[in-house]
Amino acid sequence: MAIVVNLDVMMAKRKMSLNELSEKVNITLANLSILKTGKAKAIRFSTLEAICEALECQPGDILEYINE
Amino acid sequence: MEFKFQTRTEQILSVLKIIAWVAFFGFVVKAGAYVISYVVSFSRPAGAQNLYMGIDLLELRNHSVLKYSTLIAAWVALLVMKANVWYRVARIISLIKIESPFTLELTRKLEKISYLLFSISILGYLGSTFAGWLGEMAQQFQNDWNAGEFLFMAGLLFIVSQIFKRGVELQSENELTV
Repeated sequence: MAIVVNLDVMMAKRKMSLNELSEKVNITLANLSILKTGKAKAIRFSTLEAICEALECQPGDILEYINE
Repeated sequence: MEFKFQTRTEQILSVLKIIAWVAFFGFVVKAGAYVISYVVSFSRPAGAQNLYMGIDLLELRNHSVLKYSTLIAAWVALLVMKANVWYRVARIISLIKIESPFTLELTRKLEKISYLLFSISILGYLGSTFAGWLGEMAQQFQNDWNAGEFLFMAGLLFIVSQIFKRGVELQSENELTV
């Protein structure tokens, strides 16, 4: 997919584990894992908002477009 | 509210499963009765006078054993195919998971049932044509083939299976939406 999710990069910068992020944004580990591994087909704005708030970042820090 | 809806759906599916199994066994018993009566009618020709629930084919049996056998074979084949349809319906209902009902396996099974219904309509058409050709000797068999109805059901179920296919895609997308 052309949209790359750089969640692990931001998590490393904020020194946050997947478990912590899961508790903060109230999303299951399974769903976060789907997002992190690039298997997600879509992300809700509410989810993106919650992740950006937890990681104190912008959507562009997590989502990147790469022209394949 | 959502919980009650799911429970009700599951209850309806449970009832439908029971109906499907009852129908399956009904058709199996009916087919078996015809087969047994047919076999008996060879040692006792008078047996053809009351094959099942008053069906009288004694005249046809005396006229031509081949035509008599062909008619019975077609009728029993139709009953067996109908039983097969009900068996597959019962199996499909067992497969359905309310949380994620749209699966490729279910879609394929629905398609197969639609092909089976189409085959039943073809056999029904051939059977009714043959029974019509036999005339008065097979009068009791002339109106029960329901070829048109099965063709309609086959078409309808095929359309449903294609919509289910789209449902599989939508469900998959929904499951991968975070």
